[in-house]
Amino acid sequence: MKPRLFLMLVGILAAQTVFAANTFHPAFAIVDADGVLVRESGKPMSSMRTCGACHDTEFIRDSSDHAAAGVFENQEIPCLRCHSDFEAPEVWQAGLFETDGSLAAGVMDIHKPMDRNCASCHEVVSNRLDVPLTVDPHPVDFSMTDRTGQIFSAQRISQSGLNIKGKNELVRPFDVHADRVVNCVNCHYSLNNPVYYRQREESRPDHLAFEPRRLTHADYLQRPLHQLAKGASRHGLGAFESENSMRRCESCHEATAVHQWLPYKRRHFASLACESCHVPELYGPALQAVDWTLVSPQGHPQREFRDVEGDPARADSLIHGFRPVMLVRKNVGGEAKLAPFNLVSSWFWTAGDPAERIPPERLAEVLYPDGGLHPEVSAGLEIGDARDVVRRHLEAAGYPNVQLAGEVTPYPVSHGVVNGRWATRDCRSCHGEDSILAASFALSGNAPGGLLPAWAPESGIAQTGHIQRVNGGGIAYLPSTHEAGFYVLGLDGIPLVDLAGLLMFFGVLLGVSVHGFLRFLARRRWGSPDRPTRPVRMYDAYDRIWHWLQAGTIMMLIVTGLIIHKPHLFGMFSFAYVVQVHNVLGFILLINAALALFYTVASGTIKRFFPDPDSFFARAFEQAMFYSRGIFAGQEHPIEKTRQNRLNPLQQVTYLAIINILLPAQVVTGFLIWGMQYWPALGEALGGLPLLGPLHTFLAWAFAAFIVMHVYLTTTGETPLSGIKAMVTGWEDVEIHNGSNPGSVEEKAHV
Amino acid sequence: MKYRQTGWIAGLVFILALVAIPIWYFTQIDDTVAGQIPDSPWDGVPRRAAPVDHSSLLEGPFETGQQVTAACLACHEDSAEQVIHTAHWRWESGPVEMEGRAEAVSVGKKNAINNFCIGIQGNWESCTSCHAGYGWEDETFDFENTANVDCLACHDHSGGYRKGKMGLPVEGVDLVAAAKSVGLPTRENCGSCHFRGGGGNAVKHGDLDESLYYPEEHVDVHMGRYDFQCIDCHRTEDHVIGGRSISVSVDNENQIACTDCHSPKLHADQRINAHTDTVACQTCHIPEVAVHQATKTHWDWSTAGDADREEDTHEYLKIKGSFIYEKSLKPEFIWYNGLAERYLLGDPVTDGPITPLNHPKGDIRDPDAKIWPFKVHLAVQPYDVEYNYLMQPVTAGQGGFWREFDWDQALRLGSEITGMEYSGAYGFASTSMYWPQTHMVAPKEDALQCKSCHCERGCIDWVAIGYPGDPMKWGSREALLHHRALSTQEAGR
Repeated sequence: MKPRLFLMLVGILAAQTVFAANTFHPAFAIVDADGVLVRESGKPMSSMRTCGACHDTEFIRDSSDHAAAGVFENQEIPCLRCHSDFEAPEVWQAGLFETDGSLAAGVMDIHKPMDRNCASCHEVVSNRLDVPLTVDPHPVDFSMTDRTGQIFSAQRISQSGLNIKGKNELVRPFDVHADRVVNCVNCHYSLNNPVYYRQREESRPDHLAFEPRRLTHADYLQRPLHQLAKGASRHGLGAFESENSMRRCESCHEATAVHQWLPYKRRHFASLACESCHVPELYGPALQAVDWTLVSPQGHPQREFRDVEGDPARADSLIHGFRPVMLVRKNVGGEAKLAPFNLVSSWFWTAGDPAERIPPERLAEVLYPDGGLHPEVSAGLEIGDARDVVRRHLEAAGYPNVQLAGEVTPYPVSHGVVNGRWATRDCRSCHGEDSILAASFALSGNAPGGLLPAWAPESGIAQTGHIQRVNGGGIAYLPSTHEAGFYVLGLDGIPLVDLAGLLMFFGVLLGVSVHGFLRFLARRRWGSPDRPTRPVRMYDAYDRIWHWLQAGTIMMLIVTGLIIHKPHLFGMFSFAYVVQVHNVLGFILLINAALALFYTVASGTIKRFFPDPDSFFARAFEQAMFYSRGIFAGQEHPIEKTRQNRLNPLQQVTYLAIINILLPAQVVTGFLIWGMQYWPALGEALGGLPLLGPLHTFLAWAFAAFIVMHVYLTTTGETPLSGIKAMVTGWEDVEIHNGSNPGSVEEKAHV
Repeated sequence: MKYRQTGWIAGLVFILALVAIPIWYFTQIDDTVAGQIPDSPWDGVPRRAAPVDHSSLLEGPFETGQQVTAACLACHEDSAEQVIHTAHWRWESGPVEMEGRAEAVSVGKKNAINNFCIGIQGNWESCTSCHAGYGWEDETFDFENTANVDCLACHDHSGGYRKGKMGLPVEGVDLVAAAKSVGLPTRENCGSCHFRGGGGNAVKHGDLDESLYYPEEHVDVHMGRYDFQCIDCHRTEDHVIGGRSISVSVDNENQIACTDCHSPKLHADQRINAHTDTVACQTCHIPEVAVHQATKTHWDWSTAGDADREEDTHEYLKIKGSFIYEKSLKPEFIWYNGLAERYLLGDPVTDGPITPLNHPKGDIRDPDAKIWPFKVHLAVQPYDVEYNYLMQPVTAGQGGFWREFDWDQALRLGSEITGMEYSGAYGFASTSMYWPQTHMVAPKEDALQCKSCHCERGCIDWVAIGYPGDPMKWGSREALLHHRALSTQEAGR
């Protein structure tokens, strides 16, 4: 009694870990292809007949993506492979059944496809938190993980069994959806599953947000579409109707509700797939190159993994993790966004015309005629011309026109997702010279036969960069956001525009420097003229505030604009902060300019800016002569500066150009660039960022050049600083011209 | 001229303000998660003055502990008076009203029964080696005599102070060195008793053992990464030490909570913050206890006394019976509102298979209850078959079971001390004790993950704790109550 009591206690504890089986699925008779019970016939089970007793298995087979892709060998679709953990035996032993002929309890549990079912082919998927995740060091198939490094698991990378560099810091799950109990079939659902069913956008009436008329569960269970929602991935299966049918990130996530920190969030959402930032790095062993030109006796290629330390052919080498390359992905509806991909280059033999791939099994027959490696190939490997030998042998085996070919295939990445904390958040990751959008992406450690691989034509993804050789004999892909039709601030500036701007800026700087130096020399030679002056109330308070506010914002706009344009040169500034400051300054400038316009129009002082048409040319010539000659001789200014008449003709024409052309153009381009997130259509209609960006940059250079000229010319007054002083205090000492009215009472009264 | 100067300075200030204010205003970025309350835990950690060096203040010589105490009291006049009113001295609470009991009860180590060494009555000499006093030999101990307060138990920093029978310093302790070393209580002071509860290291609590003297950060993030001392959380005022345990205490006073320092909604993740009304912090942040040293989970007294059976501290001892110890113990999840039932001497043994001695109170309908991690300790211990109540045996004491291996005698002696009737017919009953786990907080990168509980098929028996199914799919308890989805469900137990 005593020990039993104790055992009972232990039993009660153990019972608390419950693994409930699916009790919903009714018992069923297991029959063979003839409909005879397998325990009587001794033949294998037929899913079509067994499951077909209730489910429409022909409908299921005909709709099945997996069947269409040729995954199953015959017309029998193996239902249990995805819907049970039970492996159907060839011969059903009597021990599997109860005496009444039904299947013994616990033998077979029928359930929806679990992640582990998907994982049995697609790899590496793991729901276990307690068993460190590992990979097969010598994979033979091409699973999701092999092609892209994606691992779908809730396990923290730091707790995995993989050999990952710096993994102690990687205390995040491999995939946040796996972590948050989102299973494979939650996204890759059956398209007519009434729980997930979504009407196609095209057929949805505008007034209807939700289609309440659904399949009943009974109808669905009888005829479940086995066409599964899928993204734009290329599994070598060709195009499907279900392409892009998967609920995309946006279908479940309200991205605009968060991302408060992200400036221009709508612009970013319009240009970047969520995965671009939320799949920052992949830590599964991912293929970089596959060489089918020299295969194993089984026809397996040589593999080269990406970013590994140690043997690149082994999946368990030290993995560094890699940042996927960004390519343009077109979604249904025509959106084109940058999204992450892995690029795998492959090398193979082709023959004939048009060229067709020589199957690896045939190649293996040539390479291993008697089971062992052909001695000539073996010798060729020693001296490095093995491929020439292989080519000769292939031609000898009857293949015409044998050619070495290389191909680069993009594989999209949408697993391995991280939450905001781990996502790419640093603006400078993309904005700047070191942009990940322009980072060279390794394609292969070597180039067999000196060949550059071609972009896989059937990938459906455009090549928007260049495949090129890199130092060390490898090949890399150099992406270009510019070619992809984007203009990324800080990255995609046009060098020619900057060159022209620099020439303009330094040209003006040189010009005024020479002019100023000559004035200095002249003054030393002839001394400074001592002419009578009188103080004139030149600028009232609003003029000065308007002017200095404008001057300050323009100069700060130029500085912040330069930081935005070349962020990598100004590492100490936060890009996002500077962008925001630039925007705020732009609006201050805009408001100030508008108020000034109103003031000058309302007060009539705008007339100062308009040259007198009758005398303009003569006076402008006179002014130009003064700057080019008279100023050196110490002559008096040709035009007496007065409050009403303080702009000379050259100033008038310059300011007219600035106020009517340069400033509006700069404000408008700036406003449109800012507005790309609110009214993208407006900006796009006017050329989009690729035009607006460089234009804005060029105009900024023009402003910078103008400021140099403007500041220099303020020194041409009575004394070098009198102009600036006047703009500060409002009073300027103006030389008294003959015939003028010295000490005008009217003007003095303006204190 | 002066007017002009101030004028342009005012203009400059005005212009700068025109630029700076909009920039300041429009560059405020709020990136907190909705509902998130920022955390500033260091504000809650006490800052203490540097300790006074007592090495020149206490010269000795000291022959007895009481002499040291007298020397302490010469300056710290009120201290002993404070100590004799605390639980560390009295080993029982003041009278507490308990639901379902007519009279208020005073409970504590002094009179309670547990399912480890069962109880101190009749076994004072050995049990009181952990008493913060000197000379508790039997029921006649004078709890008002301040001269017997033991200051060194908590304040010794020499590391050489050891208490033996009746709490007296053991032979050879250098009392002068101990007295000169005094300072604020350290993990060593508290741990010398609390890490060894139940008769040895790691036996009792599960989340307290000697690995916490010098813990690695993955064992306990507070003590390991930040070198917390016990009193950093168990804040102490006038010798009243914060904290309580439902193994000996029945009121809900003097509690300590993670939220004393941490914000309850500090996670940068709405989903996780949504858990904190239902799930105690400890549940996720203490994924396992007994990290380095196995803790006792089963104790069967009924097998004790077998001279032929091979002895092993972790499996069988003749004096104590057989045990099961578990290392890296995953706690069990139970609703708990801070209070617990308490089995008192004389209460009947239940009809069910197990008599709980301190079952936590609360269930899914109790808004104050949260799911908490517990170490559950199961035992088989002696009871009176006739009177149907658990018995207090004399074990370590004179004539006790550990000397005579005679249950009948041990129980008879015990009954004489407790004053309970003993029929002479004894048996063994199964009991359980519940230990809320709150130490050994793991670093956040080791906390439980969603799938630790919300896994595809039953990591947690949701039905057993009152849910119709996984609340991730069935809804939270608020939603379930709202939808009347709980009305037909058996509330969790």
